[in-house]
Amino acid sequence: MSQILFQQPSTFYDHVLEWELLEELLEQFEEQEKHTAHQEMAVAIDHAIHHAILDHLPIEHHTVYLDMCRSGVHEMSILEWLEIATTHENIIALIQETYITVYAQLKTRLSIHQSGLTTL
Amino acid sequence: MPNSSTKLTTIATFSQQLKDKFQQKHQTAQAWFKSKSVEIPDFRRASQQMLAAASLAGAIAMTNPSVNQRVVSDLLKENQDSSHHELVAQLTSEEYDTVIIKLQAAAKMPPGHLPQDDELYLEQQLSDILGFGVTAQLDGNRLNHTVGTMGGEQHLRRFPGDSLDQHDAYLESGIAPNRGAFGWFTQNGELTQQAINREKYYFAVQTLYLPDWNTKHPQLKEWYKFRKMIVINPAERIAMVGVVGDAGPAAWVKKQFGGSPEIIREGKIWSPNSKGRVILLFIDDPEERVPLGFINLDDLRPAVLAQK
Repeated sequence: MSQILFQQPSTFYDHVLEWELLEELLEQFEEQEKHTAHQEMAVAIDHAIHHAILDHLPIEHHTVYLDMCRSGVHEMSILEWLEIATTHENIIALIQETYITVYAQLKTRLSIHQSGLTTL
Repeated sequence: MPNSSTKLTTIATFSQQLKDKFQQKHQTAQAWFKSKSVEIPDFRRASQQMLAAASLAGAIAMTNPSVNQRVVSDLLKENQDSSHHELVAQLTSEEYDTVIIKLQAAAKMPPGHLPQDDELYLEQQLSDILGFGVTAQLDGNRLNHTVGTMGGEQHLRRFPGDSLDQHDAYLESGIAPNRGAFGWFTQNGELTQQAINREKYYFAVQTLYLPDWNTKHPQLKEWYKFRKMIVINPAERIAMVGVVGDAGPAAWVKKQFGGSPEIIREGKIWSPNSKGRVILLFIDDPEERVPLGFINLDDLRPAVLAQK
């Protein structure tokens, strides 16, 4: 588990993600900017994961899900609930795939940015 | 050395794009966020704060979503004579807890009927607690399931020309394109309060899979139409009284019952504890004295009643 990003899991999906991948990306940042960078990355990850979950959750359950997240997004019971409520056959795999996709997009954008600077 | 400040902008831009994409795709969720004045990052932030507080205090205060609940138990008190309170008073709190535990175990059983002894026991105990008769079989009629999973249904059209925006709440559920299987809710063309309440608190039951449906369809349809039933959500200690308003769900959905948006939300049918698992029973209410809506079973606990 990442020491910088998430010292302890604070969502029901933190424990299934390889946060070390984002740690590697953070190495590109100045020390004083790492905190801001990690917060922005977490926001991106959270949006993408909730987006993917809602994509596979019947519309009538959307506000129930959001109410649960608001009451305590760290509650593992949300994951159990999703395993039954979503139309996706493997909710953990969906979350992990979404995370990897966002990580890859972040990596690409930062790489493009870095190579662009190098050529200048 | 790369300019990391510009890289921060790159991440922030990417993050904003994901946020915009979310808002465009999930407008029901977006409306929810707006109504609650929260954003997705607030989930994690609030959770971190709660966990930090919990590590200090050893407990987390969790809040429940507030819903506009019509409390049937209060209304029932007006109808009940003192004999019901005396009857419930004969139950001890321990016996009440035993009933709840048995209900919780029953709701987790595979879809179908309870063993006969258990069914009889729970019918009797629930009838005593609630103050009105509940039963798995009424007038010789029995659904294919007493225990099962209840899915969420859409609003139903109450009269020709009815539209979603004319309904009071939970509009995000949408409205079914056709009327319910048992017809319009209006009475002699009039949208009465009873008609409104029936649509608010309706159940969909699988009448189409009843073994005698094909041969007794006219009689059964008449009997089931707006038949009063009660869904017990033992995990949340909540019951909802409603009427049969539609047929379904289809067998391939792998859910045995359907509930109106009000039934699902106010009954917390899909809470993390419930996961849709419920017990559905008929109400024996020939005098029409049991109102539709929400019942907090804990309000009927003997110790609570004794204080009233």
